[in-house]
Amino acid sequence: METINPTYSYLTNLEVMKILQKIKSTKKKFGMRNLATVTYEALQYLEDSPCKTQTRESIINYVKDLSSYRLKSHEILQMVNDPPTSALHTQLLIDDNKVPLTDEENEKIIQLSYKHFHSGADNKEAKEAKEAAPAGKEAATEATSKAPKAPAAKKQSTPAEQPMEVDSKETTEAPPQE
Amino acid sequence: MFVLAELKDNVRIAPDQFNLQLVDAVRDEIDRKLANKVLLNVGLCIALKEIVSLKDSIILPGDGASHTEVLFRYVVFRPMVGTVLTGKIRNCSREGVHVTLGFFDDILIPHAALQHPSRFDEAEQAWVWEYPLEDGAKHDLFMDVGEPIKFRVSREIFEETSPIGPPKAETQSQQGASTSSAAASTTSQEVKTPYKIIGAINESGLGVLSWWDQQGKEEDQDDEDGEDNIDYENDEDGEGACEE
Repeated sequence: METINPTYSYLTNLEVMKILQKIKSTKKKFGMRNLATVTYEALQYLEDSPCKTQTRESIINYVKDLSSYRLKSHEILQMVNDPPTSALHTQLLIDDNKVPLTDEENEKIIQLSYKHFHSGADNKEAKEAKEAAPAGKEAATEATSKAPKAPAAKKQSTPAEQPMEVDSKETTEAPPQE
Repeated sequence: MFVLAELKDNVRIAPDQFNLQLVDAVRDEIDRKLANKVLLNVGLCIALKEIVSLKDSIILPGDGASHTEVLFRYVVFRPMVGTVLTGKIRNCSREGVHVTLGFFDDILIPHAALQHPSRFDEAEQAWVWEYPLEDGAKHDLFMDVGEPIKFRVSREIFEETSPIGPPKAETQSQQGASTSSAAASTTSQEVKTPYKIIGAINESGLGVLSWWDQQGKEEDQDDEDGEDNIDYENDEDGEGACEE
């Protein structure tokens, strides 16, 4: 066994899931127990992850939409594998060493993940947030409060870009519950 | 999280598989050899993606099988350091929290990388995050087995595990009836994990998912408490309070 290139390319979780589903559907004969085990276990994990609602097209569109946010490719890959649903979540996927995203960008990215990957009931919420956004500061506050910002995200953003009332509403580092 | 690794190997096809197409036989043989195994400095092999090229097959004297040099790409689990993954808590020990992804178990979040302050509850055998409340009291957040947990990959450790060398000198000295049992005990002590991931959850947003889920619902009541919490978080990060 010779390793030519340990990371020839990166795969999204969806691609892996598709490959494994194909393997699972073509019944194999004996002597493939290891493959069967790992296929089964990995599929269980993947089918329980956000990629079960994704399609090739939705990822392509998502990545296209994300391209305007100066994200690095590994950040985009992470966002595809685990589409952020809150600002706190987005911030986790972003490299610490670079200029953090503004709250507006953060909010847009979250809306994008809803738009492309949650076309069911969740979509309604995203839509509401979208409609509210242009309706001025007050409405925007309402919208943002749905996706709580955490201090980690906040302290990095420039205070000037943050309306004061958003501040008080977004203090969501609430004592979490068990 | 998953990558494609390009690998080259000499694949032996036994004569009883000559009835198959060479490509199919080779695919099976590669999967049989690699699936669910860890390759040193490559990662945990999952499944064959594609065969890039097949060289001419060779027959060696004294062996009826054919040998073919194959270049192929394999799906490998190897999260980049810094990636955020979601797993389930397998168990807790003094060492830290063990996490599983289902197909991969060797993930440890050492106690130093848990949320601060945390303590180990001997009775429950679980780590507890002592979340400080503003009035000086604390709110215990248990990390129970089976809970989904988000963590960041902070380190990966590959270890050469094979081949298993001869038994050590000490075991050889205790020869006699107990040889086999002694050997068995030493090998069990020296079980090495070929690929281990070290994780961390000492950031806000990481840890048991339910810790962060309820924020949205709670926030209305917590408008006033908010500021205290923020001060605390900033202090924890050692960056002072920039809110003021």
